[in-house]
Amino acid sequence: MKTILIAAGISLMLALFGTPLAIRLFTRRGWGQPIREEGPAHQTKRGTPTMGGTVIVVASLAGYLAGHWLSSDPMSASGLLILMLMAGLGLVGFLDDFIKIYRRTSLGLRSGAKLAGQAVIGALFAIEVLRRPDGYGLTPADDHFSFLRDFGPSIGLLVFVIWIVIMIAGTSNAVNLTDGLDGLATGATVQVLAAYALIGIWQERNDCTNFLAPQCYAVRDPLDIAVVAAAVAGACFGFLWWNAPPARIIMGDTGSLALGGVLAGLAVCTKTQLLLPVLGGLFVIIAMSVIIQVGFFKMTGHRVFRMAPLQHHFELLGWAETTIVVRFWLVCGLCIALGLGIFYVQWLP
Amino acid sequence: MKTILLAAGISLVLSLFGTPLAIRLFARRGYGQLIREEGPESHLTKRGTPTMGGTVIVVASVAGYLGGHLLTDDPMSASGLLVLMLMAGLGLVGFLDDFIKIYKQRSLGLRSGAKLAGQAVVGALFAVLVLHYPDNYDLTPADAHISFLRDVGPAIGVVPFVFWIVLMIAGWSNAVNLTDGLDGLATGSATLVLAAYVLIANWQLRNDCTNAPIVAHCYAVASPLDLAVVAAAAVGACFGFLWWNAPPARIFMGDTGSLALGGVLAGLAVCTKTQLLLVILGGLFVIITLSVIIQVGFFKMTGRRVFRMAPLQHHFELLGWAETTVVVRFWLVCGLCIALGLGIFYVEWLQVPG
Repeated sequence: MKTILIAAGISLMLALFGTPLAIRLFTRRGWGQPIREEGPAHQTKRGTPTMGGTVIVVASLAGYLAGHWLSSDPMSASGLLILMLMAGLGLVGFLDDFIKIYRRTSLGLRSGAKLAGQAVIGALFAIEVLRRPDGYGLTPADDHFSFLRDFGPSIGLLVFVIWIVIMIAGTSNAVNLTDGLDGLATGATVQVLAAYALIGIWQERNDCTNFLAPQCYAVRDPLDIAVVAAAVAGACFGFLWWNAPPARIIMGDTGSLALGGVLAGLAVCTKTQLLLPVLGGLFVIIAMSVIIQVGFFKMTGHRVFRMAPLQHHFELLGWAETTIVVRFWLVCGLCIALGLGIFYVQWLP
Repeated sequence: MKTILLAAGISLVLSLFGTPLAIRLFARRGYGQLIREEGPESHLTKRGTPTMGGTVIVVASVAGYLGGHLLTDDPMSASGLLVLMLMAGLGLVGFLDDFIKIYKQRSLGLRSGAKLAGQAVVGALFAVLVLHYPDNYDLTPADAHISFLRDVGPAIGVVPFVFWIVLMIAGWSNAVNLTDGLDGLATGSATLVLAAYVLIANWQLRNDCTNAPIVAHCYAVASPLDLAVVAAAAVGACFGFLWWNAPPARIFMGDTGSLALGGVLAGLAVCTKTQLLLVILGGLFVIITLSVIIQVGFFKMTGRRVFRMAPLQHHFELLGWAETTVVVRFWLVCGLCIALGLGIFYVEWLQVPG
């Protein structure tokens, strides 16, 4: 428990005081966000420094490491793998952002190259989580689908890797699509991360290695997973201070891919893969809006929304930007209440 | 557990769909907010936005609580009903204040003496009643004690207890009242603290002395589950209201809302026996109230101001922060205070030998 609080506190401080430094540095170097030309009237956002996600990634890693160092609590395979997934996807996003800035267009890596990067890192993660058993023979994940726990028969290594790659690519792209209004993605992610800190702590309290009850959880290192969730939540919190509307810095693909990665990693290692679509329902809705828009347009030539992703639809309907952000946060909070409710009710005897 | 979800769901839906009706009704009757003349100039555009939205919050919370119990045949409890009555009572005081403001067309409502007297009467009634109504285990909704994470110290006697509770209730409802004033600020912060109380009451239920009396660190709280139902119903109502209160606000909660929300927070703290923990959980409200006390006290002593304007949120507005920046950053501070408070609550439970 001490490690959780220390890790969250350190990454909060680092992000809170590191972000203004990043703003100054990035502004001086001219690393501003180019705005996609077909977006709503966001032209005033051109020039706001981007790639703020680097601060989130660095602060999360530093908070995790320092928390362990100060409490001399050993690190765990699960925690380190999730953080490596986060950093790896953050790197893919960073390349994308950097190319955008370098070429001065709003299109970065070609979408094929970006997807390939996500797939390689996702596959590495998927293979690694099946290895590294602890003293009880538990690995960070098993080749199973999971909702509130693992369920069904084992699906085999290959299918599992493909499934995890899809999940990671899906989650990181969903967070990426949700980014685009000041504070929206950061604030929504903080909420889901806080939910995962609670889930990790709860799984630790009801861990099968602690006491054998019929509803106990067979999860490797639940407490350390809570440390990761808390460290990232702390980093997002500090970043949101500066990212609050009107944003002084934008997280960029660096941030959105990294955050999507950490959410997917947390879901895999806490064995709640399919609970994540409920907890992160907002991201799912926004990603669905794009799929529906594109699919329907290709089929019929008509649009369903004025613009996709969904947040821009409401902007064009005349909602103020802050109204959309706060209302979408509320939807996110509702999804989390529902998800945590399901998680808790299933546990009740 | 089912009751919690039902109550929260009902009050959410009621306030989500009830608030637009209230907006239309209040706008037609001209129940707009009058803006205090010495406030920041940018707030003059807020004149005319309908106020008294707190009525929706109070009605939706009470209806959600009743609806949840009606649908589950779960019996209501003295603790739950008393907290809701405190909420409704203070909401009524706030309503009178709001109504007089509108009627007289000035931004000052009830004279502050009359308002404080109303708060004191409602608070004293609550304080006396929570010491009655023992349940089957002979637990009353509260005991004549100061409490932090549980009751602490010796019994302080009925009269000091009533004084203390009146002070606490008046303090909290005025603190929420001072925090109100930027779009969504008070609603969002109150929602966060109420959500923390849902967790606290659930935890107290799981570790209730009547459930698991063997465990040394069990909680002796009357009807923790029903307190979670009250907190969840109020969360649902605030959530639905915040949809419309989000910046730029279509409606304000008014004193009706801020006094009622302050009351429900204080009531939950008294009945879950976490009176002093609320100071941490609701740290944002405390900071804002302190800013007013410091400003006024310092001004009276030295004739100079510490902040450009009090309460604190206006200080930052005058420093040039955008209104939404102030709101979101204050929510973040509120979230931090809650993380700290819940951390303390949980660590204490871990550390008591069990």
